[in-house]
Amino acid sequence: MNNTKTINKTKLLSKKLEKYFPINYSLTQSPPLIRVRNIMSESQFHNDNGYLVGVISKPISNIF
Amino acid sequence: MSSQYFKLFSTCIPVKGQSESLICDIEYGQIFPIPNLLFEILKSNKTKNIEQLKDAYNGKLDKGIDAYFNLFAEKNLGFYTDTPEEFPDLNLKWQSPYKIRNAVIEIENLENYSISNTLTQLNDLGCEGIQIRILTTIDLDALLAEFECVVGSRIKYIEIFLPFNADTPFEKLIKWRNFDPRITKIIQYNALEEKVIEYKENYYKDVFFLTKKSLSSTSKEQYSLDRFAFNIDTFAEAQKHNIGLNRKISIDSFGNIKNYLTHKSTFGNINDTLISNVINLTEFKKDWNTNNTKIEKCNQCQFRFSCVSNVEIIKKNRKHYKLEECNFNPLTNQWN
Repeated sequence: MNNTKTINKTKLLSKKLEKYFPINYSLTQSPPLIRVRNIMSESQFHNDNGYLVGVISKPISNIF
Repeated sequence: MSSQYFKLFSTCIPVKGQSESLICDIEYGQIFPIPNLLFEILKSNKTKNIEQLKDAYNGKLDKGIDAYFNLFAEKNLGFYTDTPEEFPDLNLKWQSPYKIRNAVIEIENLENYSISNTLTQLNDLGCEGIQIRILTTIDLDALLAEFECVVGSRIKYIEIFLPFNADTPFEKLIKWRNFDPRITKIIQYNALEEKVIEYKENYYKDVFFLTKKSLSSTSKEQYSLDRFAFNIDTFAEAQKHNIGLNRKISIDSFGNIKNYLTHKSTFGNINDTLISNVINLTEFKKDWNTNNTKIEKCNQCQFRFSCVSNVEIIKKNRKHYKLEECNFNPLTNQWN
């Protein structure tokens, strides 16, 4: 009984490994690096002298 | 190389989801989806060098570990080092000097409550951002007069949503747009077309557009990958706070004070209650610290430290739930 359990567990682990770490691993199979909106760096406020005076880090609400 | 350690940069933080994990690059606003197995490896990686790490998996993951670590190094997510102790984790303790960080103000007419008084109170509390939602066609010149108090204030940005009205001369909107640099966004909803009038490659500044979408007191929020906020401030705040509701206040069209417009509870009326008194009420602040890690379903989601949601939180059998669920299922990793 215990042996069966161990074998099943090993099979399951092997399946997971195959999925995520294929033997013929290629970098093209890796997930893409996703550029998402970086509100903080894109929404900087500068005063008339050019100094950074504030940033927006998150939306107030996501209505539109 | 194998006696070396591999370190992710301190601003590249792995977050585990139910079926997929992420490396959140909160400095550059990037995410990198990774399998949960790799999340576990990165967790072990903190105390093991690469050789020890490979041994821990009986050599079965050697190729994958090498390939992923090389990829991370190539993508500027991490680096190899002999002295990992010299690169501590980022301190994610969050604090803010502002008593209120943002506010939503709903306006149906100029009689229900004083808008200038509300703006003045918010300014006194350090409020950074204000979203003005105008529900009906009102006299824009009279409304603009209410905004005089904003000039030279501590308020940093104001978004204005107003209904499209073909009779409103475009010049009047430009006058609004040019009134003060704090007015960073003007959106006309219920328009006949989707049209961007001004857009300068960023999210908040100089955005002026028409949309066919409608707006009401019950408008629901939308969730998608490009609406999440991956940055240091939000990620740090999300560790212990609800990033939607923390230090937010909303005033509905009748002057009722709420956490957010769609919430049922009200905490007095702006006509006879000071905002500074409301934000000291325990009941008003009860969900400020209910972060997504404490909310069912959200606690299984890899986006929990970047998802800004203002949905009401309910408590059942000592567990927290959102009153409305979003359209992402962390169990299947699918958007509905």
